[in-house]
Parts: sequence; structure tokens; C-alpha cells
Amino acid sequence: MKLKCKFIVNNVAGENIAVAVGKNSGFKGYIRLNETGKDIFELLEKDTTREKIIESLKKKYPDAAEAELEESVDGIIGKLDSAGLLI
Amino acid sequence: MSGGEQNIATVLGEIEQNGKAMCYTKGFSMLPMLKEGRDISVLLPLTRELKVGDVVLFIRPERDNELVLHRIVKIPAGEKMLIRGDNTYFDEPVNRANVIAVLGGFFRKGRYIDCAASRGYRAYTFCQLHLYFLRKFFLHTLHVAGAKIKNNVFHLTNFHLDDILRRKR
Repeated sequence: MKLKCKFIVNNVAGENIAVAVGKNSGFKGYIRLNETGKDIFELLEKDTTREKIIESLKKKYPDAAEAELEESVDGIIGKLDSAGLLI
Repeated sequence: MSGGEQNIATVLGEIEQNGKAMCYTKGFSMLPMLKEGRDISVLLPLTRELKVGDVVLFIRPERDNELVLHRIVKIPAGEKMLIRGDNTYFDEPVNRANVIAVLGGFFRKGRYIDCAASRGYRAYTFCQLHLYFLRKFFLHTLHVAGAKIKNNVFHLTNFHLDDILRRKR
């Protein structure tokens, strides 16, 4: 799975905001992301899997509890999927 | 609650909750800077003194409390300041109390442009404020010329039609 359209993540007054680019992005609006969300978003730019994302996050955040990471990944993937932003 | 009041409540609520409000703009009065449906504006609370060149969000009470995002062009002494859209030709006196937020930046084709940090934006603001007379002169001339050409084409077309009809008779 990966993101359906190209997003650019900008830092706006200390907050990560993702905005779709391109005329045919099919997505109008913006997405607020926390630090983990930003990492997941960047990983989803290329074709990947849920397991690969969790693996990458484990390397970046070795102290984080696995269940917490899984919950974050599932939460974001679920939201993106329900908005039709994943292929 | 009217539509205007609801919009005001939404913007102020968002600012209070997140420190900023983000929304798409509607209309053409801030072209070429903000394009309807493409650019997202980021609105910040009024925490500093407003200055000439700032783009502010204000309420128009006489038009069902609609919200307008235009640029301050003059701050005279008193309660009112003069505000103008980048693509309009008139200065609107606005009561300071009706200004509710200031533009902190905007997303243009996905990229965030910070009004305070972007050199390009500062140059654009300078042109908007100091070269207004040129814009007004040239665009007004173009509009007049455009109207004249349109009229001539219309007369020409009518003339040809009359001519053709006459010949047929």
C-alpha cells in the first residue's frame, strides 16, 4: 500500500501539516500530523506494508512500546484508508 | 445563528483550540496571491500590533457578518483602517474591532509560505502597496480597451449580418 497522491508535509507554527499537491490529487484539505504521523506518512510515499512501517518505527523509537506503535500505525492507516487516500 | 456568525464562531473556535485556523479562500479579490479552491490560508490570533501590509480577516456586519480576507493599506488615527483586496480597486474603511485574525501564511500548490519569513512575499507586499497606481492605471486601461474591442466586434458582426440579410432579400 501507498499514498494515492503526492503530499508535502510542512511545518506550520510548530505543527506538521500535510497538503496534497497536483491538479488531480483528488483530495481537498489538509492533514494534521504528530511526529510519528509524519514518519508514517513519509514511509507511505513508497509502496510498503503495515509490518514494514512498524519495523521502521521500532528502529527510530527503540524505547516506545510495540503496542503503542502498532496502535499509531493502525490508527493512521485506518483514517487514510477511510478517506480513500491509500492504494 | 446566521451563516456569517457560524463562520466567525468556527474560525475563532479553531484559533482558540489550535492556535491557528486554516481554510480555503473563496472569490477572486486576493488574486494573484490566493486562488479560490487552491490555496489554504493560515490565520493567527491578533497577538501583535497590526501594520500596513498585513492581510487580515475582518467581519462585514452590513453583509450578514460575512468574513473577508484583505490587506491593510493605511492605518490613520482613529477607529478605522483602510483595507483593500489585492485584486480590487477600492479602499474599504474597516472598524478595528471587526478585525478578528491576521494571515500568518498560506499554502500555495502544497508549499507553505510564511508571511513573516518569506522574502518573495515581502517583495510582493511592497509591490502591492507601492505600485498600486500602476496596477490601477494599466488594468483600467486594459478593461476600457477590452470593452471597446468587444463593442467594435459586436457592431462589425451586426453590420455583416445586416449586409448578408439585405443581399438575400
